[in-house]
Amino acid sequence: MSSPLHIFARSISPALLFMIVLLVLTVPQANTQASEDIATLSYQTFNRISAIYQAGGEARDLVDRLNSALQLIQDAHVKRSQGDEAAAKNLEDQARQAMNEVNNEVPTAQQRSERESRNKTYSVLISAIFVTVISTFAFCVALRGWRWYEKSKLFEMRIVEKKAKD
Amino acid sequence: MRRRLKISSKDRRYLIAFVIAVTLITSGSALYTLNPPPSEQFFALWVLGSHAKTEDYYPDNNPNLKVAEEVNWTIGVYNHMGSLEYVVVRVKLLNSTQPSPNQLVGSPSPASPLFEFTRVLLDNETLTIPFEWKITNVTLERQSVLITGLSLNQLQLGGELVKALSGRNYRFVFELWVLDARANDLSFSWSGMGGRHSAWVQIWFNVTRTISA
Repeated sequence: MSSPLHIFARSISPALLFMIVLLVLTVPQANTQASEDIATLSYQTFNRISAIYQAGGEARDLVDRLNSALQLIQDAHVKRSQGDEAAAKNLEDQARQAMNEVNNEVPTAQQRSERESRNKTYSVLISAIFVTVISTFAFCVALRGWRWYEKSKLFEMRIVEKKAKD
Repeated sequence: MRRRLKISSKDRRYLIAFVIAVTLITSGSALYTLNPPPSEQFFALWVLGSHAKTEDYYPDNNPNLKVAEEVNWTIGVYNHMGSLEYVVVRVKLLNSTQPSPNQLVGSPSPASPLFEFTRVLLDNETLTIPFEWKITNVTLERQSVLITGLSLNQLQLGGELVKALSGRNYRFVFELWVLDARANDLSFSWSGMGGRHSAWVQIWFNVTRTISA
């Protein structure tokens, strides 16, 4: 007659085996999914920074930080190839955190770039108006000067004519 | 009594014409400053030799490489698309029989990449990537040489990487992929003037049948 412990062990071993098989099959997929997630996150972060540039702004600091995060992902790939899964995961976590920080700062950068873009537009328009006004004033002065010169020349000619008549 | 500034009708015409001309010129300049016309958009991809020149691609200029012989190249990418771009350089190892990328139809090589270099490039920015590699292991199979170990920038690769008859005509293929914002995925081709374009470059080499350098 089998002992209760023996019966328990016989009943639990198929379940345990099933769980081990399930774990072995799931972990590589989890790695693949994590890689896809981090790639998608990098695309999303890039698209948000790109929107700032498309609106006429700049965000050089955010671009540099995104590139640092991409370098971390690359280094993680190297570590994984060397068999150091823990270091690879750590690097990927750092990259993920860096990209999340960049995403959080995008709205502020967007507002700043919109402000800078507006200021640039205003300064260009004001410069154009200023140049027009100054040029027109200079033209008026030059025109008046020319007319005065013409009149003084005419006056000189009249004096010479009068002297000749006399 | 204040003197009134008299302007003759002739001068008034000159003044009006001048104001119109200056307004047109300054408006045009302002418009050009705020909305510059787009220039030709393109990417450039290249591979240079060990001293970042178009020479010295192989040690002693000999493309017949031995195992453990180090090769140093520099990969370059230039962004002239007028915008921020997410670029990926995919490195593939092929033999002469495997399909090359086809830039006419925008299709990449079907081979899997060994490695990818990813970077966000500003407009007018150039990316230079040191590419140091060496064959670490080969297996001789009758008439063919199978590369089974490769080191790329500290990345160690193993397995049946690529096989070539008599160890001749292997090639590294470098493909330029760009993030397509609409598809939200990488694309081997991009839209430019005159249609879609792709960029890829390959460098050939041979492997000698001796086992070690």
